[in-house]
Amino acid sequence: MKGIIFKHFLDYAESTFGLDFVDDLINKASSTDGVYLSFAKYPTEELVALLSTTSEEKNLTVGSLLENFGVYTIPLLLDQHPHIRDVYNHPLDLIEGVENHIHEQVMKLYSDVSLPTFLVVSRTDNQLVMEYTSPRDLPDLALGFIKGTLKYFKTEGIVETEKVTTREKTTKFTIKLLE
Amino acid sequence: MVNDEIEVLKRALEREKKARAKAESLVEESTRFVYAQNQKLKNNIIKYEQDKALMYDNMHDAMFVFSENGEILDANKSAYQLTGHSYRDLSLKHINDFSAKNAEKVRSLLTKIFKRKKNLNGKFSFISRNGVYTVLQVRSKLISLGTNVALHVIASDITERTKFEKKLTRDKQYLRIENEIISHLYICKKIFEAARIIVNGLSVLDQCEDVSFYVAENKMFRQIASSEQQITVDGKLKTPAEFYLGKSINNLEFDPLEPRMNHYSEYSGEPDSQEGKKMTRMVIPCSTGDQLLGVIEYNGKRKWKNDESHYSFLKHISKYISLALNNIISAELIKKKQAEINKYSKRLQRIISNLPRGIAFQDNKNIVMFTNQKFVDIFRLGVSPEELMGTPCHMARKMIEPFFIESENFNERTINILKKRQVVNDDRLKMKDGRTVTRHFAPIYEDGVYFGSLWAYEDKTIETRYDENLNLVNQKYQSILENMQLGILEVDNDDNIVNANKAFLKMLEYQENEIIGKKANGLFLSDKENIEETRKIKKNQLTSKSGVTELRYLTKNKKLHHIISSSAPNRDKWGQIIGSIRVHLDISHIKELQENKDLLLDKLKKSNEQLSNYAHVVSHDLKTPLRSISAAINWLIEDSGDQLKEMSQSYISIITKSLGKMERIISDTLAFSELESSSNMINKIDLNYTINNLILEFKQSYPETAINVEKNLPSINIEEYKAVKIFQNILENSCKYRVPDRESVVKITFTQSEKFHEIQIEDNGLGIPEGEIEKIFDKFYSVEKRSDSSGIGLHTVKETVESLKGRIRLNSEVNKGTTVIIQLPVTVDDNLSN
Repeated sequence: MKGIIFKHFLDYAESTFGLDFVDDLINKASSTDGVYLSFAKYPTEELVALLSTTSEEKNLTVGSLLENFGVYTIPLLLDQHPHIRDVYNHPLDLIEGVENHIHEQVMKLYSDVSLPTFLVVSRTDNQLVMEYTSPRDLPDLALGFIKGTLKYFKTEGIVETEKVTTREKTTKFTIKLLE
Repeated sequence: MVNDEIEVLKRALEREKKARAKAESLVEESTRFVYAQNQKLKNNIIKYEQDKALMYDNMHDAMFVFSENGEILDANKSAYQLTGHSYRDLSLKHINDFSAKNAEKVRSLLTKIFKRKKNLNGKFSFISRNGVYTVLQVRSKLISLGTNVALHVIASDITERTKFEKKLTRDKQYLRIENEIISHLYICKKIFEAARIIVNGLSVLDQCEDVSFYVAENKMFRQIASSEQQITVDGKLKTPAEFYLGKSINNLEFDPLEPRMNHYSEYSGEPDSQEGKKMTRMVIPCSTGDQLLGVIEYNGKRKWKNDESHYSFLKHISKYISLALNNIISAELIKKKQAEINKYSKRLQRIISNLPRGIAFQDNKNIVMFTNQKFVDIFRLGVSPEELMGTPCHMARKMIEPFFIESENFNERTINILKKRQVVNDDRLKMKDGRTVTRHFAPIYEDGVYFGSLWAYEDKTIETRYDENLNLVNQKYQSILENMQLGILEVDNDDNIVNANKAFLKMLEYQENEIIGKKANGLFLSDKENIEETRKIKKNQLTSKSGVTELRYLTKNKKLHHIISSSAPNRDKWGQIIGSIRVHLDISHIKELQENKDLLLDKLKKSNEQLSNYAHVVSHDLKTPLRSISAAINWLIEDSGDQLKEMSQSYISIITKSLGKMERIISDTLAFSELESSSNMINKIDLNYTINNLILEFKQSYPETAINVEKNLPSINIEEYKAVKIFQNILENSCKYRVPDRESVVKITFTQSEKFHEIQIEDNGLGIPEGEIEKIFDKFYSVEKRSDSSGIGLHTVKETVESLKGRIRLNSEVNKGTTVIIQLPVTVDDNLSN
């Protein structure tokens, strides 16, 4: 797992739960004293440890915690990479472009990264059906990113999630825009 | 305070966060840039690799990558084609997949290259699995393949190029040879030089062993140049070969129109040389049109590819050689002809220059083109003929005009002749200095066009004068003939009288008109003798002989005359006999005298005979009393010789001597009279026999003299008594006139010539003084007055020898001896018997 995810998670925790909590969390769950370089790689277990500690301390499920983290981080990421953001003016276009366009850009920065796949099943103007597959199997984070994106483009919609049983670690998202 | 501090820290944290975000975005940016560049490079590499792969596959050249131990790591399509393996199977894995020979070659090369770590480029011949021969140009490069080193090899097929290059090299050589030969040939002037140029030029062809050139001479071909044979000092071959049209050159049948090539083996002649040197022979005729000029013979080591191209080259160059040869031969011919023309022209000029006539040739523009010395001499012009040439004719005429007498109108006559342009002969012109010249004129046309005129002047002064003189002489002789005593008669071939002179007419007492036109024979007496004689005359006339005959004729008045007639054929000026001239002399008077003389001679003969008889009788009769006297004297001496006084005795001695002399005179006189009246009875006698008898006699009377016959003598036609007389007299003289104290020797030798038997009698006696040799043959002469010499001996000998038509002479020197030389004629009988 890339350091950038760790860094954004600590930012999210600080803004949501305060610096003290973050300091405490680092003491309890971080093996690197909270120093995470965006371009370096860290073990996924360390993120899991940070998540589960936070969930215990704050009585939040890991799922909702990941979803909130996703919603919180997307605007930051988009603002940080205007050359990507400016390509899109519609949230569904952006979500649809993750697999081909955005991931490609990510690959330019992090050559050794392992990315999930977002397979577009169908697309209309207001609806996008896609299947998310990741070895780390974090569909809640993906849901958070989708909701955050809708929010960033100031659109309202419903996101339905459904576990795909035929393939492992795959979740089907149906995004319907309201209006 | 603490809150303040917290605020400060919060702000510091915020700044740090921002700085971090900034830094990270910078890193991101540069990462993205690096990525982009990287991506570009990657793409380029991919493209390059793709292109390279494509290129190798499409490349015509074969590409191999070999490992050190001979594995073939890579090979392109062309490489497979080259080796003959299937590209689809990619079955080429190791150099052992090559043919054994190639594998061996490649392995040794790889070993070399990998050992030296040095690239090796060069030519390499290669035979594919299916036997295709290829020449390769190989470029190699050691490349690193990870940690290993491999050899990257590009092999270009240069088989065609090599072939082409070889052909190019050969063509270059041909071109060079051709250039060399042709450039030299076109400035060459002699066929011998040309042949040498050809032979030397062609002998540099590779594999060439020998080139010869034969020149065509009618149907024969003679070798005049050879690259193999030595050339003598005068530029000729030591042993030139020859062959005739229709025969073969060294077993290669020669066709005068078609080049030929054959192959043969040449054996060195060494005993162990089983296989001959394989050779090729080419025979190339050189001709222009249908004229064969020469033949090139090429012999070289056999090499099929070479042979074919050499052959076509020789055929090709032979055309140019032929042209050049034709030029040379033509030039030689022209030069020869030119020289001939010059020679004839010079000869003609010399002939004209030396002609005994003055020649002048004027061209159609009336310019004197040619003249000779004689022309200048005739007119005594005082210039050379060369100076006169080129002068206009009217000027030349002015120069010679003053020499002619004015009345000749020289200029006018000349212009007239020129106008008519007709041949003129013997135009006679008188000159002021008394000479006469004649001239001949001939206009000359060449192909019907007037070209000029030829004048020939001749000084005829002498001839003219001669003719005039001849007339005078003629008249003179005419009058002599008319008035002389010889009768001259001119008759034609039919014996008709044409002319007779006064003397002849007088001789026969005829008038001229009475005999002209009549037969000459009719004038003579026609008895048998005359007819015979006249026939002789006639015959002589026809056979153009002259002859003299005696004829009798009757005058008009029937008086008999004797004449001598001499006849000679009469010829015209061409030498044809047109009759005869007979000259007659009247000998009637002489005839009369002759008859009188004959009568007188008869009388004289008779009285001579009587006289001879008388002499004979007298001599005989005189001898008898002489003998009586001699006997009486002898008796007188015997009886009373000693009683006589000395004086008386000497008287008696004188008497005795005189008696001896007397008897001798009588004997000689008798002999002399016999000689003069002797008959002509002749017997053949053997001189050996006669002389030997004489020698026997002389041995008794002159024992101190040795007479030797040195040589066998001939048998000759002579009366024996004459032979005895001749040799007895001579031998007796030799014995008698010996030098008292010297041993007397007489030698008789004999030589035979065609006409004479020559007998020499040589003694060593007293000899005859020089002044007396001539007198020795006189009658009654003796050198020494001796009682035993009548002086008539040698005279008799001479008479006898001469009566035999022989000759006698003697050489003598006082105190040394005398040689008498007698020459007696050889008669037909002698010849037969000897």
